[in-house]
Amino acid sequence: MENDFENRMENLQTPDTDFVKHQEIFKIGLMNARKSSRIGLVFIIIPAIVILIAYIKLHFLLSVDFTSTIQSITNKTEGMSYIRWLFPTVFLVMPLLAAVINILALSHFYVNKKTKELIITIQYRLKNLIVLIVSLAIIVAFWSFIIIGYVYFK
Amino acid sequence: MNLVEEKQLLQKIKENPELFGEIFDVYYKTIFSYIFRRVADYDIPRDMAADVFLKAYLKVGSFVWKNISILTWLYRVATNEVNYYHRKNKSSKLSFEIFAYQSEKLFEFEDYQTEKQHLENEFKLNEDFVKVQRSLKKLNVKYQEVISLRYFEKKAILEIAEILDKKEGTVKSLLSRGLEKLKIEFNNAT
Repeated sequence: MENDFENRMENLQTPDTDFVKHQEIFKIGLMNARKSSRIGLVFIIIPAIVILIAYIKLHFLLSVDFTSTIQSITNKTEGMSYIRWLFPTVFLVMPLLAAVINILALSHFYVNKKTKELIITIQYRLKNLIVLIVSLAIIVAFWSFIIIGYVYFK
Repeated sequence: MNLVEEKQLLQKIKENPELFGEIFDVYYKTIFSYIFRRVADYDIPRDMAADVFLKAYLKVGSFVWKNISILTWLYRVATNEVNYYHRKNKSSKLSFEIFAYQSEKLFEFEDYQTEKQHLENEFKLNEDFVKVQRSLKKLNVKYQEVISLRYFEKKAILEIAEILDKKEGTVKSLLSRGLEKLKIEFNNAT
């Protein structure tokens, strides 16, 4: 009897899955998994460094050559139209792009048509989360700077 | 792929991670099939298989070659995923993740319904397998993993021992005890 069952298990036919093709779509997402955090990092590294140095200079009253250089370049190029776009591009557009890329990398969207629910799942991936948090911090810092400047000079 | 080819590929992947696609192409169906046979669903194994390969892809840089096939490693990761799923399912039927897994995805590929239907038909054609699979789910996870690897995946005892990182004697013992329990559950169900 025991052998009968074991023989039955040995000869058990299992469902065939040779025809599956959905992995082609997964592959695209999978191969880009690493790129999303790296691309995000590239977009936020410059604004993050500038903000950090500015903070060090203001908070600890340390003179840093880098900020003095930036200030002198800004003063000399003040009249040039394209320079006006550089500041918001570096401190707003690039961190925003980094944030969007990493949000898309972390999230999955599902629609349950039966219960009419949109279900969003967020995956925990540390590198993507760090880039996302830093991007949002830069955007908040940028807007705080704009608002404070506007209120102060008004 | 033989062991030598796998070792060479892994070394190349450490310099160029894009080459991981080759591992994905060769082994995805095997891992998906294994998870599918253990979980008996379509959407959940798809997500799990994707997670297995994502974990493998993110960790491949730190992978240390120990003369064990990449497929063995992938089976091990997949087994842990499935075991975790079965343990979670026993304790919490209404978790948020179960709702997510049972939902339809927002952007499905064109042949989603065809593929899903095809797999469901495969289940209907293999009644014996379905009965065994249902009975197997009632057993402890440690029996499920050895029995499914032995009889669904047709793995030898040595291979199972490598995948589960257990001694051959332990695997044989688990198989023997697991089969007895499975037979009882199977006979009770029929």
